[in-house]
Amino acid sequence: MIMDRQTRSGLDEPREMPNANTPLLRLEDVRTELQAGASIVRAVDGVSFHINPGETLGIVGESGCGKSMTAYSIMRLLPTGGRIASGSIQFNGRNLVELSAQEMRHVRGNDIGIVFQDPMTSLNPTMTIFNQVAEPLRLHTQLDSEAIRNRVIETLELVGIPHARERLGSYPHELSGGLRQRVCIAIALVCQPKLLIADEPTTALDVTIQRQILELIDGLRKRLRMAVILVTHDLGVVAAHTDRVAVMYAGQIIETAPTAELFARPRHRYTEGLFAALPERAHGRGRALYTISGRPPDLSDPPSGCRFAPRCRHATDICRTGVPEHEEASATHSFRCFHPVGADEELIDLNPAIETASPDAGQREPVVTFRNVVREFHLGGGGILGGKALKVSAVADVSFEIEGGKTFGLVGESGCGKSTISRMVAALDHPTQGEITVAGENLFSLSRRELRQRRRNVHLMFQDPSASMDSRMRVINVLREPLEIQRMGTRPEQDRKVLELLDQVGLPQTMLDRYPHELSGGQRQRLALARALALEPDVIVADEPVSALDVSIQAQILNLMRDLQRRKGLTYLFVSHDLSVVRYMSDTIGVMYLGKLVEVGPADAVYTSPQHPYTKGLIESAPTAEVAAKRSFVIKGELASAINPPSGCRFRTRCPIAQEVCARIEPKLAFSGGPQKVACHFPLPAIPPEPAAVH
Amino acid sequence: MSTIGNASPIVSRRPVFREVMQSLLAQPSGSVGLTITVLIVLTAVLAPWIAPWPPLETHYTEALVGPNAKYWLGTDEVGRDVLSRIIYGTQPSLAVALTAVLSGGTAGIVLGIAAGYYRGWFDALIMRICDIAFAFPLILIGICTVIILGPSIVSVGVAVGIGVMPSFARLARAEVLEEMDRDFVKASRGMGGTDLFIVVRHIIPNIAATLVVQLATAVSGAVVIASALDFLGIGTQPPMPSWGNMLQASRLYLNQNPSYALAPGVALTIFVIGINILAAALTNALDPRIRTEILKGRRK
Repeated sequence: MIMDRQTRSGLDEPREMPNANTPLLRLEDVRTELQAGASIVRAVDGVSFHINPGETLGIVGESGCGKSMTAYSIMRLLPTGGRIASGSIQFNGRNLVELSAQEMRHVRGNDIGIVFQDPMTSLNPTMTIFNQVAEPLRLHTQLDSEAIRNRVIETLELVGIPHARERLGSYPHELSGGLRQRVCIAIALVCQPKLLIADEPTTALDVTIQRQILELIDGLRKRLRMAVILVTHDLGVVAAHTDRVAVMYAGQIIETAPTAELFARPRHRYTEGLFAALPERAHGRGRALYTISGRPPDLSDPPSGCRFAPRCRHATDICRTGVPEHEEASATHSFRCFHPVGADEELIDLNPAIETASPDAGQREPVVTFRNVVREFHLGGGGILGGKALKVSAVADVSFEIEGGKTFGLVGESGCGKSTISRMVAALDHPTQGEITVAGENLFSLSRRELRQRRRNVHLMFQDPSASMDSRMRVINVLREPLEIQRMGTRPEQDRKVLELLDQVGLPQTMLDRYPHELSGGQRQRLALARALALEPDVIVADEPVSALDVSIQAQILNLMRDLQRRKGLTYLFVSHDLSVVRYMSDTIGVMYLGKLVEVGPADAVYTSPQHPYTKGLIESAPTAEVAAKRSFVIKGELASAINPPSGCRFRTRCPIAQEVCARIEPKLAFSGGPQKVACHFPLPAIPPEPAAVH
Repeated sequence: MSTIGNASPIVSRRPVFREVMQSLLAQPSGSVGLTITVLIVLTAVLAPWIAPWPPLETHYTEALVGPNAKYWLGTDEVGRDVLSRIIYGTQPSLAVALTAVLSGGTAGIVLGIAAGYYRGWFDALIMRICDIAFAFPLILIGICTVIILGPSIVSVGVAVGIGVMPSFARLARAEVLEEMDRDFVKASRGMGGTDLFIVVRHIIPNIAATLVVQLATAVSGAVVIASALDFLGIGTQPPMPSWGNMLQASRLYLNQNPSYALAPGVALTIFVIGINILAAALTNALDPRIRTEILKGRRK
């Protein structure tokens, strides 16, 4: 399976390897402009960097800061109206900016490969895997069909597709998400490029698959001695998988440094803020998250001076008038900031303390209870047309309780049933069996009319705030809608309530006449939160409420959610795939796998001393912004099918410590030496919490 | 909501209607389309005042002459002024198109929305009926309608309406299915919204864009289909002019007076183009996201 450059079949002439000391790619003052009607968006504004052969460079930044445009500029794959206005892109001795369209076509897919974010949309659903991987070879080489076939099989094996030979005739929909992304990587690599550009390659994937893909790219880079540009918004991904990092803000690179150095000692205030806003840097639940106020500037009219100045806590007059030059902190570390984090400055405590101890005297009444809840979906078959009845077991015998005023965090990979649970709490779906009560009432025994009224007790918040709001309704109508539906008060009373809600989530009244698309992502999620509060519900179900947001905005929303919880005694069901977010938000964590609750208990106990192997694997797979995070526990493979779930313990097919008993007997959820319950025949030992870990 | 009072504390200052009109007219297709549509409606209404000749007046000695100063578009086979007949023909053409599209369109859209919203057996029933309706030749539907309602412009309108209904039902259903998956629809249901509330507030405004374009397209189809029915003697009765029966009659005289045949075709084309580009521009103006872009000058 190991592809050796010399003995490989197919393309035989040895490619000249550039000297390891001369950069493979060097961008000099690249400016990329996008024409949008009368205005010009300067998406990339004077970017210079280089990348050496065999090196991985991470480009990080918030959305809209130009990191993807930088990557596309290198490939000259700009959207309509986009052009490289000036600068040079030296690649392997040639200036890509000056190449003809035809010469450039030969560079793409041949010298430079690219992997896109979403493997679902970057493969052609009507072409077989073989034809898609063979396409670059047919375009760029004169190999005969036999050689092409061999090379395709070799490459598919290289990217870790099991039984590659038998998969050649498969179509994309027959492969899982992880395998599809492997196919995309195979397409990018099949011509053995010298440079691989990966644009958010794992953002659409689950953490366990994300880790597999990132490790694959890492391994291939070393084996094939190619350079990699990893574009991502995720600081955790950058920490573990890059040699150097370039931080972008508003179309410019504001800091570059070797990864370890950047994480240990960021100098630019923006970089510092990005790190500080991460939930894992909050020093526990007792502190609020650090936030960066405002949002990145409009690149058609960027501020003069330092572009970060309007959002910076350290900005002075010079920041608003002068443009900071690149400064060298060391030979490899440069930044542009007038008031950098001092070389000796301790990373000060940026997180203000908050009172967490909601006045709870002992146990409270549970507000939400799930008792042996089962939810199955029928996929057809078994009807008059015959055939075997197929059903998906989305939630299988799940029981838990949420105490009033507390947060229950639900984690798991996509397809584990956590969204089904959140929909059932919000009564948007009903259980096949079992009982769900909210505020003491079984919602599914009510009449339609009563249920409509009771819906005011629970509100569901969605992941994507722009999708959860009707784009044709202005803010005022969005907030009035729940009041109108529940016939609460007269029009003037409703309007007063609307103003009160805006105030509670910190949105100015000038927003009332805006449409959702005229708000920023953070403002939209604030609006979603305001709408959630409109009916004064007891329970708010938040389904991935921050996963569509940038870190700095995420911190604002999380702070606001906790603040509102304290003030209003709200109960949250907080669903997320992001463990550090869930840990920061939750009192109790429930971990789901394939429709089963496998571990449930106090948040800190579950996070610091997980007892289920799946929980441990999840925690170790999750990228954290620590350069040297210990990782020993690997979850292999992908989520099994919920149509025919594995017998016994559903996790056994991926479990590193599974034994024969796991296939026969289903483990029950029970205490096993720790404060949490775990459903495993061989639970990991409970580690007594260190005193420091208790907040 | 504790304070009691009657005055709303919120006064909306955003002139939404003006924004819509501004962005409509800012698009070249919007202003041109609106002008054409208004002119055509005016022509229909003001026909008796603007037509140079009475539409039925015959001049046998001057039959089938080409365009000249007296008859701007020439005359037909019995010496009637083509221009005047085109102007008068606007009335039945417009009437048929509007009746057809409004009756058939509305019925189809309502059925389609209900099918897409409730799914299940109702959906299956409606869709099978549409399949069957597609299989019937329109002429047959037209003849049946005329037998029931008697020959008139209205019955042609209804017949064409029945003909276009299934396509509206299918389109509306497909659009509704897509909207039903949107988070804001689920959110509305989660807040306790009734079916009617959700359909009126969320579904219809969001599928309107596609339907408006389809309506405009159907108008042109309706005029053409109506002419076929006219030809069978079901619709506008000769000697009253309609664009349809003029097209049919003129085809024998292409050599003698080409403008006789061209004129109704050109009139129909202008009408169709006008309504279509107006519909496209209107859809843009009604979508708040595109509207912003247009008003900012980022999009034409």
